[in-house]
Amino acid sequence: MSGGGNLPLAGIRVLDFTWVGAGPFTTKILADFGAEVVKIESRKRPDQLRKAEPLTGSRTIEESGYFANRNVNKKSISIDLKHPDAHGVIMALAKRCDIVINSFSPGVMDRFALDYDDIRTVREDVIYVSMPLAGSSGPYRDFLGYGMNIAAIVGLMQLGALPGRWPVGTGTNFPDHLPNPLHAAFAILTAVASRRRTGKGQNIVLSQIDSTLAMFPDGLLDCAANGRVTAETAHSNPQNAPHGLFPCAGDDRWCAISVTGNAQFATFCRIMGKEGLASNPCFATDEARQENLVELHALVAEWTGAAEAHDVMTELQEAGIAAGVVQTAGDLLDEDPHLRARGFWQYLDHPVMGRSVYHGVPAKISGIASGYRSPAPTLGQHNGELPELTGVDPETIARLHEKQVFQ
Amino acid sequence: MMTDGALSHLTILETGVITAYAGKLFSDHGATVTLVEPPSGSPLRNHPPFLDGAEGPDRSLHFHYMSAGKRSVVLDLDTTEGQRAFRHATASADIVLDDRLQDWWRERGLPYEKLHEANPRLVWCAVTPFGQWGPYSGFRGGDLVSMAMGGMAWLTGYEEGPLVSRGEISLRSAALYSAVATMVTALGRSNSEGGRFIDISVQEVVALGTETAPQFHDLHKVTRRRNPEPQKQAGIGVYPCKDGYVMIYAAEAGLGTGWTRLIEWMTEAGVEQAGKLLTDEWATNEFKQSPAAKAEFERVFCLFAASRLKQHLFVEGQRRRIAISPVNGPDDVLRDPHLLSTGYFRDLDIGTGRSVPCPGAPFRLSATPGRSTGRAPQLGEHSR
Repeated sequence: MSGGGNLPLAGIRVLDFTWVGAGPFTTKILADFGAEVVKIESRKRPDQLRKAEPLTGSRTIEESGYFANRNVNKKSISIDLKHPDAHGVIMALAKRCDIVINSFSPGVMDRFALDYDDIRTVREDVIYVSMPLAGSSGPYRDFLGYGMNIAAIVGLMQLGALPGRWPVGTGTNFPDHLPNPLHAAFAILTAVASRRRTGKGQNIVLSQIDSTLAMFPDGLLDCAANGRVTAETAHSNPQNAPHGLFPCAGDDRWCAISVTGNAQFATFCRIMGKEGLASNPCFATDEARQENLVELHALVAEWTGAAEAHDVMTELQEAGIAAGVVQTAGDLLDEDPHLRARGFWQYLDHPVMGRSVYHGVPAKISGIASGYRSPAPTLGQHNGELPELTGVDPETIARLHEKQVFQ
Repeated sequence: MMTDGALSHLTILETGVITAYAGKLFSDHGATVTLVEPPSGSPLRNHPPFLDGAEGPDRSLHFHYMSAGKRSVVLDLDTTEGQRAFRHATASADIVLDDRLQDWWRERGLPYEKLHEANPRLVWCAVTPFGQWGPYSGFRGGDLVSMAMGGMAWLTGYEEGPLVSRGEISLRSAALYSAVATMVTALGRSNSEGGRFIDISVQEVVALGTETAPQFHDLHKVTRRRNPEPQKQAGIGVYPCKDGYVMIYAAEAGLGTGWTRLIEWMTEAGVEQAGKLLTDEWATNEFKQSPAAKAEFERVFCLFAASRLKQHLFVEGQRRRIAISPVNGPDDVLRDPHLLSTGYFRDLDIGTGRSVPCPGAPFRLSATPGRSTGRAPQLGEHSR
C-alpha cells in the first residue's frame, strides 16, 4: 500500500494526471500526509520530468533525480490515454477516487472525455482539480510556460533585480516549488472539508498566475495606492542596518547579517572590534545607518572578509544577532548539524537509481511519522494492482493488456 | 451552495506574525480568525508599504491585505488576566497559528500540552526560523537569514555575489506551508480528539525551494550555483527588448517549449541571420550551452527584440506556442489585460473611503468560492 495507515489523509485516493512542475508537487504533499496517489503516464508520453537532469547511470526514464524527488510515495499506472479501450479503465479508476487532478492546458481533459462533468457521471462527489498556467478563461487561457515564466509575469522576477541591471529572480522555477503546489493542496483540502460537511464535491481551477501573485501583494499595493513603483534596492530592509550578505574567508563564501536597533548595533560593533562605530554620528541611529549604508556595509565586509562564514554566524547568534551562512547544497546535505539532527533529508533505495536523496517534509506533526514510505515509482510499477484499483476483473485487465492499452 | 464558506466551522486564534497569510487563507474561506494582539498592537501593523508612504496606525497596506476579514482582541499575555483569557479562548478554539518557541509559552503557563489537555482537538501550528528543537532552534531568523540558511540565496545573484530577492519569499512560503499542514491536521481529528502540535521550520521550507541542487550534489557531486549571466542556454534566459526584458524558456530537448517556432518567427520577421540557428549543430542543449552559441543567439534575438515591446513579444510568442513571458513590474501587473478581463483584482477596503485594488483569490472553488473579505480590524476592535 502506498496510502499511509494512520496518517491524516489515509483513505483518500487521488487520480493524478499532472506532469512536470507544480502538479506533481501538489500530489506529493497529499501523499506525504497519507493520501494514495495514482499517477497516470504512458511509455509513449511519460512525464517530461523523467528526462530532466540530474540523471544517473544510463540516463533512462527511471533515473532522473528531479522526477524522483517529486514523485516519492506515489503509485504509477502506465496507460495509453489515446487507446480506444483506455477510457473505460480510467473511468473505473476515477469511480474509486476522491480527487482527480490535472495540469494540462484547458481543453485537453475534455478531448479525452475526462473533464469534470465526465468524471461526475461515475463519481458524483469527485473533487476535480485543474491547474493550468492562466486559468480556464481570459486572453491568456491557452498560454504555456514554466515556473520562471510565471515569476516574470507576476512581478516576482523583477523583485530580484538590482537597480539598472537584469533581473535575476530566484534563479529557480520557484512558483512550481512552493506557491502553486501549496495553494493547490490547500484548495483541495478545503474542498475535502466541505465535502465532509455537505457530501458534495466540486470543481477547482487554480490559475498559476493568480496563485503566485496572491502571495506577493506588497509592490502591487504600493503602486495601486500610492502611484509609485517601490524603488529597487540592494538587500535593503528599511528597519535594519547593516542588513545583507557579506563576503567571508574562502572561495565565494558569504554570511547573512541583519542588525536591529541601537542596542544590537552596539553589541555588533563590539564583536567586530570596532566599538567606536556605535557612537560615531554617521552610524549611531537607525536613520544615520540607513543614510550611510554603503560605508557601513564596507566596514562590515572588512571584518567578515577575514573570518569563516560559520564563525561569523555563531559569534553573532551567540550575542542574539540574526546571522546565517549562505549555504550551498553541499552545506545543507553534509555540513548543517541542525538539519541533520532534525532528519530533514531522506535517503531512499530506488530499484534503478540506487540510494539517493529526497527533500524532506518541513512540518513535524506530533504523533505523525514524516518518513517516506516508498521511492518514486518506475513507470507502470503498480499496473498489477489494476484489478483492485479499478474493480475490473483480472481477466478483462489481461485482455486489455494484450490489446496494448497499458503501454 | 454554502454561502458562509467551506471552513466556517473553524475557530482560529492567530498569535503569530509570520503566519498572517495562513490566517488569511482560512479567513477567506469562512473561518473565524481572531488576531490576539499585545496592547502595543501586532508588529504586522508596522509592515510596509504604507498609505502615502507614511507610517502610522492603520496605514500599513500589507496589514490591511493580510488581515481583511479577521477580528482583533488585545490580550497582555504577560499578565495573569491575559493568560487566563487566552486559556479560556483556546478551550473552544480549533487552531492556534503561532510563530514562537514553546519556551515562551511555558514561561507564561500556557504550553501546548496543558492547553491540549483541556481541549484535545486543539491544533497548534508554530512557524519559527529553525523549528522548535535542534542545535540552531534558538537562533534568530528573519527572511534574509532563512533564505541564506535554507539554500535559496546561494542559487541566485550576480557575478559579484549571491542575492536575496525582495518579497519575503521565505516567510510567505512558510505561512503557506503552515496553512496546508494545519488543514491536514485539522482534517485528521475525530469529534473528540486528534489535536496535534505542528513544528514548522522556515529553513526547511526554504530548502524545498532549492529545486534540483541537493540531487545534483548527491548524484553527481556537482554544486549548482548562481548563473552569473542572463542566459542558461541559447533560448533559455532573460533577454532585453524595447521596453524591458522578456523571460524565454524555449528548447527542443528536455524542459522548454518552442525553440524551432521562435527561430521561424524571427526569420519570418526578416531577421536573416536567424535561419542558421536551425542547422543540425544547434540541435543539442550541450551546444546551446556553449559561450559561442549563447552569444550568437543573444545577438540575433536582440536584433529582433530591440524594436518590440515585451507585451507584444509575449502575446505573439504565446500564439506561436513559445514559452515566453514579459518581466513585469507592479504597474504592468495592475494593467494586465488578462487579470483585468478575468476580474482577478479585489477592492481592498483600507478604511479611508477609497478602496485599493489588490490580488484576488489564488484559486477558484466552484461550490464554495469563499468570500470577499471585508476590512482589517482596528486594534482590539473585538475585545470585550
